[in-house]
Amino acid sequence: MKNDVKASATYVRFLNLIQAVRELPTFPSVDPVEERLLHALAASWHTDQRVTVLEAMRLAVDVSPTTLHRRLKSLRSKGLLALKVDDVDTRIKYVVPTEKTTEYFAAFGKCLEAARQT
Amino acid sequence: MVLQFVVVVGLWVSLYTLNDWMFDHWSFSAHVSWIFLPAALRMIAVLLLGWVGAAAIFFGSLMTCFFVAELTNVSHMLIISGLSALAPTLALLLCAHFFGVNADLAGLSARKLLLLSVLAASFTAGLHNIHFSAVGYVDAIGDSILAMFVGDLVGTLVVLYAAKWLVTLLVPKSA
Repeated sequence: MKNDVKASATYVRFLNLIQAVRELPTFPSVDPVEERLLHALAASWHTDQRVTVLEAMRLAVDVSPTTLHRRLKSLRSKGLLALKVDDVDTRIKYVVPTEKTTEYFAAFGKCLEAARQT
Repeated sequence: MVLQFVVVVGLWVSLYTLNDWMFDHWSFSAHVSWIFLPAALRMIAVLLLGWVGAAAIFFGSLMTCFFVAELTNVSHMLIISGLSALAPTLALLLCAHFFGVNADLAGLSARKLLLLSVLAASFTAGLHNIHFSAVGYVDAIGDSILAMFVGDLVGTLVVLYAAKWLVTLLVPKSA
C-alpha cells in the first residue's frame, strides 16, 4: 500500500515534469494555411488597413472561414497575432501584429535579401 | 524503490559511457566536457525520485569514477560523487524555497525547469571546481568552471529538448 502511494506520487511528479518539458519554448512552427493567412494579414497591415476578425476569416477564398478562425486562434496561441477591441464598439475585434510577427517577417526579409544577393 | 535506484544507476552509467564515447574530442579536461548529457539525469532523477534519485546518482557516479574514468583515489571519488548528487538537490531545494515548486512538482513551469537547469549547472560547476582547485587538479579554475557550467547546461538542454520532441511526436497535444 505504502509502495503504491509512493509510486503514484512519482507518477504525479512525472506528469508535472512532462507538462513542463512540453511547454519548453521553441520558435513557433507555422503550417501552410497559417502562413498564407499571416501573409494576407501582413499585406493589409502594410496599407494601414485595420482587419477585423470577421474580415480575417474571409481573407483566403479557397479556405473555409471556420478553418481560418481556427488558424487565427492557433496563431494567437503562438504569439504571432493579438486581438484589439474597438474603442467604440466592444463587439468588434481587430487582428493586430505582435512583436513576434515583426520578428517573423524580419527573418523572412533577411532570407529574401540573402537569396537576392546569391 | 530498489528498481528505481537500479534504473537510475544503469541510466547514469550508460549515458556517461555514451557521452565519453561521443564527445571525447570535445572534452575540456579529464573531468570536464563541453557537452555532458548525464547532467540532465542528475536533475531529472532528483526531481522525480528525491533522495532515492540523489543516492542513485551518487552510486552511479562512484561506478563511473572507478570503471570509466579509472580513478584510484577513494576520497576523491567519494567527494566527486557526493557533489554530483548534492548539486542538483541544492538547486531543487533553492527552487522549491524561492520559486514555489512543490514536492509533487505542481507549479513546475518550463521557465522554472530552465531556471533549475541553470542553477544545477552552476552548483555542479562551482562545487566540483572548488574541490578540483583544492586538490590541485585545475590551474585555471575560471576556465574550468565555465567549461563545466556550459557542458552541464548544454547537456541538460539537449536531453530536455530531445524529450520534448519525443513527447510531441508520441502524444499530440490535442489527444
